[in-house]
Formats: sequence, C-alpha cells, structure tokens
Amino acid sequence: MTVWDAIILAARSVARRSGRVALTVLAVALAAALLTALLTIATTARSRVLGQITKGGPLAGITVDGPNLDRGAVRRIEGVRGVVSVLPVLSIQEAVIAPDPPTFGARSPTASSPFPDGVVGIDLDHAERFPISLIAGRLPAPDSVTEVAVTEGYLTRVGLDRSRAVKVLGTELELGTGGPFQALIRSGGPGQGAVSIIGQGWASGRWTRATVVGVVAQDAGPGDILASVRHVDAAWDYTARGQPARFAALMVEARSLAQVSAVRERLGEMGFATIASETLLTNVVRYVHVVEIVLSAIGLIALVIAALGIANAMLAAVRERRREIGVLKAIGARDRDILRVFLIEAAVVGLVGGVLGTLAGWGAAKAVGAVVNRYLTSQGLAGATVVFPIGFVLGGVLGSTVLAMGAGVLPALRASRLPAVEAMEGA
Amino acid sequence: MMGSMGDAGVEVRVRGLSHSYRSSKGDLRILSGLDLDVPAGGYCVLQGPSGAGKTTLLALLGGLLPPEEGTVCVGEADLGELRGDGLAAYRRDTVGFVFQHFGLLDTLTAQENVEVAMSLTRAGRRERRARARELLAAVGLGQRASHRPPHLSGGERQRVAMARALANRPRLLLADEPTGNLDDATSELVVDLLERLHGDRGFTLILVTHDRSIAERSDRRLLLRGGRLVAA
Repeated sequence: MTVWDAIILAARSVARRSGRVALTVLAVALAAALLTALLTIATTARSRVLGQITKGGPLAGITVDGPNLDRGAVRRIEGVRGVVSVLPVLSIQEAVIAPDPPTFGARSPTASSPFPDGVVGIDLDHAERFPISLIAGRLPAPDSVTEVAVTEGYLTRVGLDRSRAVKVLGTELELGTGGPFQALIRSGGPGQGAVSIIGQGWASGRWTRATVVGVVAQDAGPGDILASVRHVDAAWDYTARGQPARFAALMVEARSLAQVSAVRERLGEMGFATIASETLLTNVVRYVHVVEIVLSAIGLIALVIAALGIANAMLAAVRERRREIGVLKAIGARDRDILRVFLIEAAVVGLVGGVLGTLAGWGAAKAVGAVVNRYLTSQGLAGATVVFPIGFVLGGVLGSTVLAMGAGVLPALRASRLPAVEAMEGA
Repeated sequence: MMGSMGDAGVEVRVRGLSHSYRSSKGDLRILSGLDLDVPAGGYCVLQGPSGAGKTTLLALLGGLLPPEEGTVCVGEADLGELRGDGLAAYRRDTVGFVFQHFGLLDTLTAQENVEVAMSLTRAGRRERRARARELLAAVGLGQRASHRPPHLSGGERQRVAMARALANRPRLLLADEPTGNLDDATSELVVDLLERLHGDRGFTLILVTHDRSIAERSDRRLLLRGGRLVAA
C-alpha cells in the first residue's frame, strides 16, 4: 500500500468519524492556540521590554561618543575583537522653519519663529542598529534628501504631544544652513532674522525643504530631526567646505551581549567613552527567558493533554474497527500498512488542530495586543507591535503533528497487531 | 485481462488438522485430525451445524489462523511455514475472501472497495481503476461503482465483495456463508454469479453454507461433524 493510498484511507476514516474527530481536533487546536498566544505575547513583551531599554537599538549595542570620532576611529574600532559593526552618527545644526501657515492648533508657534536644531544623519539601511524606535509614520527612505523624521522635542516645539504625533506626518519643514542662518544657529534660540532674509530672496545659505514622514524616539545623536546620511553629508559639505567629517557618535555592535563588557573595556583602553546597559540587559534577558520557559511549559502541558485525548479517541476507534482491520489484513494488508493508516489519521488530527490553533492563537494575541495598545496610547506611551514568532509557530504546527503521531503510536501498534481472523466475526 | 493465468485454481491438501479455542472452562477442540483434498479448480461445499468449525476451517485455509497441528498446503505454500509478510502475501496473491457480513469499507465507494485490494499489490492507479470497473461490470454493478456500501442493497454489497475478492486474481476463493444475510431470490442470484465466475475463471472454490438447495448444486458436499469432514 502506497503512502498516498494510506492517506486516502485515513482521510476517509477521519471524515466518517467527523463528530469525534472534530472534538479531538478542537482539543489540539485549543492547546496549539494557547501555546501560540502565550509565545506570541511573551515574544512581544520581550521585544517591548528590551526595546525600551535599548531604545530600539541592538541588544549588544554600545554607543561611543567623544570629540575625536572620525573615519580613523571607525577603522580602529572595527579592528577590536568581538565587534560586529561600527556605524557613524552624523549631526549638524540647522535652522528649522516649521510649516506656514501653522497647522497644529492654537498653541502652535507661527512659521515666523525659526529655531536652531540638530539634524541627525544615520545609515537608514541599517536603522535597526541604532537606538531609534518609531512612534508614528515611517522612517525616511535611506537615500532621500527630502524626507525626515522628527522627535517628541519637535512635537513640543510645534505645540503637539505624543498622542497627536500623526498630525505632523506629511507636513513640510524648511532647513537652512550656512550664510545668513549661521547667526541664528550660533545664537541657539528662536529668531526672526533668517526668515526676513529668506523673504527678501537674497539669502546665500543652503536652504532645503523636507517632508515629515515619521515621528521617532531616538538616542543616536543630538537633535530633533532624523535624516539620511546623504542629507547631513550635503549640509556638512556646504558649511565645512572640505574639512573631514566628525561624527557625533559611533554605534558599535558587539557579537553578543556577553561580549559587550570586554569590548567596552578595550574601547576604554583606546581612549573612547562608551555607553551601554549590558548588566541591566543581561538580567532582563534572563528574567524574560524564564517567563518564556514557564509560558511554553504551560502551552506544552496543554498539548500533552490534547495528545492523551488523541490516544484515547484512537484507541476507541481501533476497538470499533477491529473487523475492518481484520478484513484489510484478510485481503493482504501487512502490519505496517495498518500502522501507517492509523499514524496518518493521528497526524491529520494533529496537523489540522495545529494549523487551526495557531491561527486562533495568533488572533487571540492580536486581540490582546490591541487592548494593551489602547491602554498604552491612553497613557501617552508608544504601542507595542505584536511580534509573530514564525519559527515558534511553524514549530508549533510541526510539534502538534509529531505529538499527535506520537500519541497515535500505541493505538496504531495495537491496530497493526490485531489478528487477521478478526475479519471472521465469531470465528 | 479477465480470466488470466492468475485465476487458475490451486490444489488444497489438509492433513491431520486440529484446532482448539481456549476458554475459562478449558480448551474447546473444534477440529480434530481433519483431512481435506480439493483438486485445482474444484468446487466444494462445507456444511455443518453452528459451532462445528466451518468458519475456523476457512480461516485456517485462508491464512487467517495458524494451524496448531497438522498441515495445510495450498498449491506450493505450506501455511504452517508462513509468517508475517509471507502470510500477508499469501492472502493477497492466492486467496480471495467473501464474508457473510460483506466486509466492505463503508467510507469507500464500490469501485474504491475493489481498488483497495489491488492497492496492496502496488498495481498502478490506471490499471486498478480499469480492472475494478471490469470486475464491477462482471458482477452487474457497472452503474453503481460510485455508490458507497450503505447505499447498496445486501445483494449488491455481496456482489461488490465478490468483485473485491477477485481483484487480485485469486487461485482459491473462500466464501463464508455468502448468502447468510440475503433473501432467497438474492441468494440464488449471488450463488449463480459465484458459480459462473468459478466456471469462467477456474479458481478453486470452497463455500460454506447452511442452505441445502445451494449445497446440492456443488460437485462435492462435505459435512463437518465432530471435528472431521465426512461426505454429506
């Protein structure tokens, strides 16, 4: 009997006992749903907690700051053992002019109040390696010079709070550097002069417009405007006129959290100042891992209970189908043919239950996430993105199937060892 | 092809066959030193009172039970020597069973019930389908191939069971009270068909029945009494 023939026989048999099979599938589905929901919530919580501590940066991230950060420093740090990557953070002061006319309500300042602010440039192709987390909208495109993201500091300046962050999305702001803007930038406070200069049309400074596409929380560098490296490079080239770039900070990523201390020590010996929270992170990761183990264990216990249900249902099926099994043997089926049919029946129950349960669990986790997000938003905090742990989920479906097959082994063995004479009722 | 070499009958030789069932009240001896010879292509009817051991004898001839004492030889096969897959192969390739209870799988259609026997031989899907259609047509059920057993009458079910029994071109057909669940008219029809197929294909036929009128139609009638066979 081929596997396909066995699958057809098993599928027909499952379909015949639809009521009992549905109950068994339901038990597996509930267990798989519980496991998926718990793992999804645990993974989301882990991501959220660690994201809060790392500000969205890598777990093994180290911020290097200080006055002498240039290309040479990048090369030297890249040579340190245990360092995976070194990415520079650029920062330049520019004059910022908010939208005109004011669009954010009565508390907004007018556009005639330009203010100096830092524009932070990072490699947006590797944004995940910087301490940046998105509050609203999206990050600027990696090579764009016309898109920026702003921070809560910018929101405050334009009279908004975090709960109304979306209002700035799609608005345009103006950024000026060099020439007439330098006085404003050097003054460090809002002024009127630059705008009047621009209004007269003879400003010789560099003046650009950019659309706000996102609101972020960022700890990468000093400033309320986040832009691409290309944008900041261009502004730097205009003002520094050929001087080599100096970086506001370097984002160093160690190979693992365990190596952060050693890398920091070495960087300290090289004269660099560093910031990292490896001790706190190590402890938090440990606690989060314990929570994950406990939640996984609860889900697995549910799956084991479901597996016992499968074993029970299949033992009952074997008792009911003694004559059918005998007939199959009487017409030439081998023990392993019968074993295969029953194992496939168990696998079908596990697979269907696993898939349904995973979908239900994902839905439950999304629902919990929505409730939690509503609460966080009401508290003025960023919402959590529900993380779909695809590996766990595939493992859950596969695990449900394998567990069901495991539960089906004893009934299947019992079926395969039934004597062929069962076909002759009363023999 | 209908009536191929595989259908040719096989000689049955039983010598000194004994069989007992164990119970709480001790061993119950059913067969006691039984001898039987059926020539290749022969037709033999077994009769006897309930509990005489007719079904047990068929189970022993069909390889469903191992002989405790004595020898059971069907063609070249000594059933006492066969185990596991060898015994399964004997049941699959040499024997066809027709049960009183039909023994059809309710979840499969008539056609699939016939095909399931051939699936054990790893015959190709197309070949299985064609032969199943051919056999169902031969038993007069060509139009009911897609029906499931619960939607067939008793006589139709038994004819499907006969088609299944012939699927792998058996050389020995064992029929255990094939008309036991049928009315007289349908019984007549089924036995007519069985005898016609026996005549066409040449397999050896051993039939158990309580029905005297059916028994009288065979070449040879044997009565199982006291664990042994005597001429009826």
